[in-house]
Amino acid sequence: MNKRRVVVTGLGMATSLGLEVEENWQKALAGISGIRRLTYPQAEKSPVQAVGEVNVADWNKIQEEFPEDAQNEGERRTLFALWTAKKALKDAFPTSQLLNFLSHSELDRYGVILASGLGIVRLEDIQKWIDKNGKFDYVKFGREYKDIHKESIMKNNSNRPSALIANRFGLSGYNATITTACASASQAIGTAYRTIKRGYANVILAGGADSMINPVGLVFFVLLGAAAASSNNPEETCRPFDRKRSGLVMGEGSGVVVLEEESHATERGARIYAEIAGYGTTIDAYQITAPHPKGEGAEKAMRAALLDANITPEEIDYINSHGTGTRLNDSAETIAVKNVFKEHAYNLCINSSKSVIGHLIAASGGPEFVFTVLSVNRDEIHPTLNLKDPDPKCDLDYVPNVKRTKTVNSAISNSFGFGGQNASIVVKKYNNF
Amino acid sequence: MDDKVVITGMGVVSSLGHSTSETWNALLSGGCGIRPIEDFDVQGFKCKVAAQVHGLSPLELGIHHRDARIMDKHSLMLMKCSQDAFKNSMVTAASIPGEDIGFFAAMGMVDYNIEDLLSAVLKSLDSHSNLNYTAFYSSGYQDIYPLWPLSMLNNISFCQVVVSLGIKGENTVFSPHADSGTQAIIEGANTIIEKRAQLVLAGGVSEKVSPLSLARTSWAGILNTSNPPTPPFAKGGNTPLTPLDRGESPPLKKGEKGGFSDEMLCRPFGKDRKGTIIGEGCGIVTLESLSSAKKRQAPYFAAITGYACAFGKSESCNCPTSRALSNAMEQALFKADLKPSDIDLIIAHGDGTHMGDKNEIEAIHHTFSNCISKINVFSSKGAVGNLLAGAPAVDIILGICMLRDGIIPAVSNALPLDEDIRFKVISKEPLKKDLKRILINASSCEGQCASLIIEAVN
Repeated sequence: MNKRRVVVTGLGMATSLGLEVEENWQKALAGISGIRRLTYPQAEKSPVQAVGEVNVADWNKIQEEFPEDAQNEGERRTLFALWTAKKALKDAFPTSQLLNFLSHSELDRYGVILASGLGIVRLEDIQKWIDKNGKFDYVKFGREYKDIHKESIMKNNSNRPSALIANRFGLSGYNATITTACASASQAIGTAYRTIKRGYANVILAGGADSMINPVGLVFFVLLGAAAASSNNPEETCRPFDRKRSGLVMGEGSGVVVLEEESHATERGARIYAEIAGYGTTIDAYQITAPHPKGEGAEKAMRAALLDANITPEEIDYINSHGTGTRLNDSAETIAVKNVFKEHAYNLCINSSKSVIGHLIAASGGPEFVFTVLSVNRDEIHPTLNLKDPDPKCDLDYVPNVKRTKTVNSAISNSFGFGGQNASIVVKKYNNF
Repeated sequence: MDDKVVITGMGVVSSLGHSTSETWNALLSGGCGIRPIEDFDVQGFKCKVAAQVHGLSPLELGIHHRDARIMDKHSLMLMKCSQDAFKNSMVTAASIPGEDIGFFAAMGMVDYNIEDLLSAVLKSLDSHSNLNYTAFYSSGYQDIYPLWPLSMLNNISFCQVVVSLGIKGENTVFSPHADSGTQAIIEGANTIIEKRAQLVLAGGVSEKVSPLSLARTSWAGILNTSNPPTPPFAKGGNTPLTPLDRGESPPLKKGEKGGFSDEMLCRPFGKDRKGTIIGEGCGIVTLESLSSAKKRQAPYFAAITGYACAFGKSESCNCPTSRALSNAMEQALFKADLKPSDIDLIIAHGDGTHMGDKNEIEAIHHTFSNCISKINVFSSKGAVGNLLAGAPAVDIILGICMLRDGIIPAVSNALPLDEDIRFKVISKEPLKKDLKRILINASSCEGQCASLIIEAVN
C-alpha cells in the first residue's frame, strides 16, 4: 500500500470572529459568537437578519493587504481566499520571502485545491436591461455586456480564486476547484490529501472561501425553507441539536490549510499540527431536497474514512459535526454517528462550529477542518452554542455552551452537501513512527 | 500486478448528434455543428453562433416534470450521457451495488435564466425603474420559484443522476473549465486503482449557451467576436429563419457554410483564427479495472495510462503558459512510462484563440522536439465548439473511435494553417493510420491545464 503520509503544516482562517487563526480559536473556546445582526446595506427588510459577517474593520484590513485585488476582483470570497492563503503559507513557511526561494521545478510539486460556491446573482444585471414593456432587452444586453459590474457571476469564474492564489504565490502544480455545495471544502481537502498521497504533489493549499451575503444569497435558503427563523437575539439564532433549532444561519469567510507530504515537512523542519489519516466520501442517492432520514450516506462516509485511516471507531475522541441546526440534518447525523460508533457514540465529544461562525456554505469544511486540527493539536474542544434544550433525538455529548478539555488523539470532520454528498476526514495526532 | 484502468462505456451528446456513433460519423464526414443561435435574440452580441444541442426531452430520459423544472440543458445532457455510458458498459443497478459505483463529473458555471428572476425584479422596481431592495426583501423575492436555488447548484444536476442510477460511492464535482474535465477522469481512474469502487462514471458537461455564457466568454477574451465583413446570415438579419437555420436540421455537411461567414467560425491552429466558439455537449465514460471488465465479460475500449495537471497563467492573455502546458504533457508521459515518440496523436485543447493555440503550439514543439515532424495533431473544437468542462471526455471518446477505426478526422476550418506549426495538423481530409496511443490536452483561461493519455487494449 501507499506509504506516503500527509500532514498539516499551515493554517489560515478568516471569519466573523476575526482574521487570525488564534483569535478565531480563542473566541470559539470562550463561546463568543460571530453571529450578529446583518449590516449589509439596504437589507433592513431582509427575511434573514442574523449572519456571521466578516466585520467592516476586518474587511478593510483585507483590502489594504491586497489593494490591487480589492480594486480588480469582484467577489469578497476571492479576497478572503487570498488572505487565508497568505496566512497559511506564512504559517507553514515562516520566512520573509514565503516561497520565493524555491526553484521552479520544486514549485511544480506545489498545488491549490479550493472549494467554490455559487457566483453572485446580481439583480442589477437584469434590472439594467428591462425595457419599457417590462421585458428583458437581449439585444441591448448583447451590446452592453461589458458594463456588467465586477461582482457579476459573468465576471467571476469559480476557479478564479485558486488561479489567483497559484499565480500570486507561484504554486505551479495541481490546481483544481470543487463545487459540491456544503461538501465542497471538505472534498477539496480530501482530494488534496489523496493527490499528495498518490505522489502527484508534495504541498497543496486546500480549503475554501465563500460568501452569500448579497441580496439573492440572503433569500436563497429562505426560498428553500432551510434558513433559521429570525430571533430578537441574532447570536442565539443558530441552535444545532437543540429542540428549538429551526434552520441554518449563513456565515462568510475562508478556511485554508497547507497539506504536506510528511518527509517533505520533516526534512525542512516544519511544525506539524496533525496528520490526515483518512478520507471518505459517499452520496445518498435518496432525494435532492433532503438528507437520508437515517443518515445512511453520512454513516458510510464516516465508515469509509475510518477504513481509509485504518483505525477503529473506538479510537475517535471527537467529531466536528456538519451540525447545521436544521431539523433534518442534526437528527440524521446523530443516527449516523450512533450507527458507526455504537456504545462509543456516548463517549465522543461532538460540536458544531456553525453555531459559532455560521454556515460558510461551500467553504464550511475549511474553518471546521482548522478547528478539528487545533483540537487534535491542543486537546481542547470549542462548545456548541445555544444548546439549552437538547432534542431528545439528539442525546449525545455535543459539548454544550462550555468548552471541553480532553485528550483528542483522533477526530473526524464531517460535511454533508445539499443533494446528498457526504465527506468525512479523519485527523490524528502526528507521531513520527 | 498493475491492473489497468479501462473504459468500458461511453455516452456523448454534442451538436453533431445525440450518441457516440452519430457524433463520430458526422465528424468523420467533415460535419460542423456551429449554427446561428436561436434561443434568444442574439443580434446585439458580436458572436451570434454556437454549436448547440437540440431536442433532448426530459420525458425520454425518465425525468419527472416536477424535477425537470429545475433541470436546465446541462442537467439533461449529463443525465443522458450518464445513462448511456451505464447502458453501454452493460451495467445494471442490480449487477454492481451502488456503494461500489463512484461518480466524478466536471461542470461549468451555472447561469440563471433571466426569465426565472424577471418577475421578482419587476416587482422590486420603484417608479424610476430602479431597484428597491425593501420591495425585493418584503415580497419581490417571493416571485422566485422556491426550488429555483437548487437549479443554481451544479451538484444538484449531479445528484439527480445519482438518484436515477442508484450511485452511492466515492464522488465529487470539479469546475468549471476543460482542465476540470480531465481532473474528474483522473480522480475516477485513481478510485479504480485504489479499489475504492468497482466502477466509476467520469466525465464532464458544458454550460448551456445563454446570454450570460456569451458575455462571460467574451469578457474572458476567448470568444470569437470579430465583426464579419458580410452579414452573418445568408438571408440577412430581417428574413425569418427556416427550421433548417434553427439547427433543427442535421449538422452541416462538409463544405456547407450554413450561410454565415468563415470569420465567425472556430479555426483551431488556423492562421486566421479569431477566437473560440462555445459549444454544448457532454461526455461520460465508465471506468473499471481490466480484470473487472473481463470478469463481467464487458466490452473494453481503451486504457488510461498517464495524466497530470499543471498551472501557469500567461501574463499577457487568458490561457496557460507554454511551460505549464509542456509540464502537464511531460508529466503525463512520465506517469505512463512513455517517450514522446510513443504518442501517435495529440488531441489538442486547440480552441482557436490566438494566444491559447500559440502557447500550445510552442509547448508541443518543446515537448515533442525530437519527433516533431511525425506528430499528428487534431482538435475537435472547429466542429463541436468549445465544450469547456465537457471537452476532455468528449475528446477521449472521439479518441477511442479513432483508435478503433484507425482514422483521424480532419480539423474543421483550420486551413490555412498557422505558419509556425512544425507538426502535422490533420486538416485537409481524414488520415488513415493505425493508432496505439493518444494524448489529450485541456486548459482553462485562468491558467490551469491537464493532459491525459489513452492507449488501445487488445
